[in-house]
Amino acid sequence: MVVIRSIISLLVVACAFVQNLYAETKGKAKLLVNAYHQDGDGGDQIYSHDKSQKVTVFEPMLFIDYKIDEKTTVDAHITFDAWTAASDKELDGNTGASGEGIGGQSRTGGRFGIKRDHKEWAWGSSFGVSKEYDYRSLSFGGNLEGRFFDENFVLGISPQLFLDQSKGFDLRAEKTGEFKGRVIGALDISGSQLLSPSDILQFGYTFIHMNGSLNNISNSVIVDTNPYGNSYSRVEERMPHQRVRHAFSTKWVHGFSDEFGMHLSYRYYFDDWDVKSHTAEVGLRLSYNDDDTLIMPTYRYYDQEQASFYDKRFATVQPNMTADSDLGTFTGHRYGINISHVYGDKQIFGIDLLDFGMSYGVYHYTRSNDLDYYLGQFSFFFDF
Amino acid sequence: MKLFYLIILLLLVASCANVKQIDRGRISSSLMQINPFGEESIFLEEVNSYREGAAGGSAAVGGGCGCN
Repeated sequence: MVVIRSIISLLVVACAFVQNLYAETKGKAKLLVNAYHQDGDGGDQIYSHDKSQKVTVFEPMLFIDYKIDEKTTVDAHITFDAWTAASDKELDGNTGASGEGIGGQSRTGGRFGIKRDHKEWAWGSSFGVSKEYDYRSLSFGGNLEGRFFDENFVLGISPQLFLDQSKGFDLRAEKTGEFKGRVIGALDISGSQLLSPSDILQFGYTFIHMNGSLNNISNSVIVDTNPYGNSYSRVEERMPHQRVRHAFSTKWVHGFSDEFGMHLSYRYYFDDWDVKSHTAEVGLRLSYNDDDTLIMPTYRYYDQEQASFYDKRFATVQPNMTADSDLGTFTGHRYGINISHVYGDKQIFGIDLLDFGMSYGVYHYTRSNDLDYYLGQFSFFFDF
Repeated sequence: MKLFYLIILLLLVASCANVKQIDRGRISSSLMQINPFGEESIFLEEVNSYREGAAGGSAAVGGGCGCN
């Protein structure tokens, strides 16, 4: 709660300062709070034999957009999160007095960008940082957008680069290891087309190349020959040093009337670890109060074929092996609803907040290999 | 080659309709946005990219987080 209070105070003071500098509306701010809880006992990758994948995450996010001039907008997205995980606690209990245990379970991250908007095209660039006790990341991104045929067709190209480092947990020494690096490059190409005054169609292709240490920080596998001689017969998972991933996606948005619409989306994914998946989502959209209230219930279906080196346990040590349930064969169902409402101009703490609004969201996800999660979201937003 | 086919497909789709500015009242409403809850979906897509083997089709590409 201290973090939330600090963020709100900072937000209000910053907006008051900016409002004194400029009379007209130039910025948007949004504070979004995510509360996530995950449960399930199907985690063969977990160090302890109870396989508990219980995780609770609390993550506030702050978004600020500010227009410097007619064509230029700068934006910031700042994230704080804190979590507890059953798997971390189990490792912590096994680190011993000489080992370095699990450190502070929190993450701080930020992404800062600039966008330039011209009549028929726009570009943007950004950089980001993220830091945890056993993980750190630098990222760079770009975006180029072209608008064609009187803005009926919009083509976007977005490259991203992540320079990540993580400390794996050394099960043999029972302590956290040294930082190891990985590089992730991604290219996203998408196009959206107006099909009619009530239909939009979007296509996309994403290419992701990952290289370096791709082991998950604390995942392990059971090997029957027990090469380390520890009590659990476990060794660290061994991932390939490279992963090449492809995703083709499409989304159709249709408005039946000014108050009622729907969307359908589909994604086909495959990679060189032999993971293949189909993702489909359907959502209804209801708009009330002259577009001030939007309600969107959704259902998402996910079907996955496992990685070629996945198994629940191994007879002997293999060059590549994982028991990570996230890379197994499963189907997933997610049900959710988002609601947003704009209350209009409000004065809070003597500051004029234009188009003040709030949004709420709840989700439940269930996976066939014994994992469920619940997510609650709350936000407030305004112009200044 | 797949990229080439995708670009051809996008160009074909691009030439199939022309909605005039004056007819875009509904299109510009929140009801018709491709992703009307864009900020809310960031955390959701991050969760999906770690709880599932797939990524792509959104901003989440599996970097920037040590999530297990």
